[in-house]
Amino acid sequence: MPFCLDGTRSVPTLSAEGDGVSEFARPGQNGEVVAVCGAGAAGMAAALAAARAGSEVCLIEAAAHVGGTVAHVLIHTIGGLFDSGGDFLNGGLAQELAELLAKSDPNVRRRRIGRTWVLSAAPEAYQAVAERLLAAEPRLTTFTSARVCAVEKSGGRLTGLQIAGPAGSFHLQTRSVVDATGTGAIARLLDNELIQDESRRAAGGFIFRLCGVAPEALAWPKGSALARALHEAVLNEALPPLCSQAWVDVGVRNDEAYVKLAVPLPDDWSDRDSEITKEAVNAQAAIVAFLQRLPGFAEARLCRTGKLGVRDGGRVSGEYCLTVDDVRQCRRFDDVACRCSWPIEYWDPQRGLTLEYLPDGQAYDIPLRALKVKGFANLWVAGKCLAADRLAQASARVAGCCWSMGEAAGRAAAR
Amino acid sequence: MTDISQTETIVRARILEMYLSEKEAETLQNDTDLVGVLDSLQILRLVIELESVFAIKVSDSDLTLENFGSIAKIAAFISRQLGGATKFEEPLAQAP
Repeated sequence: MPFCLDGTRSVPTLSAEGDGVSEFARPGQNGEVVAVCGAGAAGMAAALAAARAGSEVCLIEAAAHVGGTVAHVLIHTIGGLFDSGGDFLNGGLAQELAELLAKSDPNVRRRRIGRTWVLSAAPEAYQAVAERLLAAEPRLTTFTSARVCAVEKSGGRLTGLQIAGPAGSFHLQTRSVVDATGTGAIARLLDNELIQDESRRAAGGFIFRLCGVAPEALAWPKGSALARALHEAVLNEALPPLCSQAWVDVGVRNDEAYVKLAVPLPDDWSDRDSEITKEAVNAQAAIVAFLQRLPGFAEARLCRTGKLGVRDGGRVSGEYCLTVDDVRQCRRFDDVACRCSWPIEYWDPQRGLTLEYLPDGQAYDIPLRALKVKGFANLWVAGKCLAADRLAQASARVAGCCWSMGEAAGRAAAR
Repeated sequence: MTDISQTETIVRARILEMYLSEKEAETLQNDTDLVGVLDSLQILRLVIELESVFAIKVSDSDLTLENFGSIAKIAAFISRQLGGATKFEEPLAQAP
């Protein structure tokens, strides 16, 4: 018995009938859908693009809410939207998102960080705008708290996905699939050999937000003094070692601060209760207590903690592997999916951040072949797990670029 | 060249070398507001560099807009830290 879902609902509740696995289908459709796995920046863009191109789309998200890294890790500065002059780099859905965000919240602003331009926006505003965009597409159905537990293939095609949701399991017949999981989770189910995992992963990010900060506490260049004070406190063993690369940034509102820790990722990083997450939470408490003794922070309090963010959760093997040389040379490709000008922002687990900027005014192309999974005619990848080497990914992984990658992959999947 | 202008030249060279593109360098004057040009991390690295080059100590309370808001302000701050010395051959000798 197929499910017949109301396509105007973005997050339908499923109720499995009987003990069998039900089939997802809409009235009047043969049940074949474009399945997009992962509702972060790339996945939401892929789903929107495929739906707008006329396909029936199912967006599958393991978390309870859409939004991905920006919404859940607590990113308040969205990179990859603008070129070095501050103009939109790709247009399309990335620009649409930025413009909707600016309309939704007067605190949203374009902001300069070093030689880059970012969009400063509250993660909550981002999530709300993204949810509205998804809900407005009648051909798009979003399943949250749902996991892909099995894939079916025939020849070089993915023919179906088995999904486990909160109300039971169901099956999707797939015309095409976009793996936007950030970890290559769909490709892993097919063949672990399709994944390039680093034995020494880029450091993760643990971010928390403080409210009640005096507006002048982070006035330029006081953030430098704070970073130095935190670093010296670690040297004096007044703060735990995990705080050694702590960074305090101005928030979206003038009474906020965002604190970011660089966290070396162990093998069990995906486990929310892992030791490293506990260490990060302890470091958070120590930093809050430390800051409260500094001018401007007496009334500061913790108001939200993000999930542990993973910058490189594994990359998929594609028809083309984007290389750091492509990035440095600002290479152009005939099959360009989107452009990126973000610096190579690599977070070494021991040495910390290294930034390598592209030449002024330049950008590189991400070819569509780097979004096409090797050996499969209808499997695409987008976002952090694109086909790229370690340092190329360290540039291409930022959210604005993921929106544009996702849009290109979604359009390709809908063809 | 005055001592202040020598300091300005060194500070400017450090900023250009460490952070800015050629296009941005064209518009960077000694009185250009550095807010929006350098972020806090870059200022911190610049401070470490200047402490080494000029053998000065910059305290947290020194990190203000008045002292670091422009190349000219940074040069004036360094000059004050050096006790208004008219010559600082030692720091210059350490510069590239």
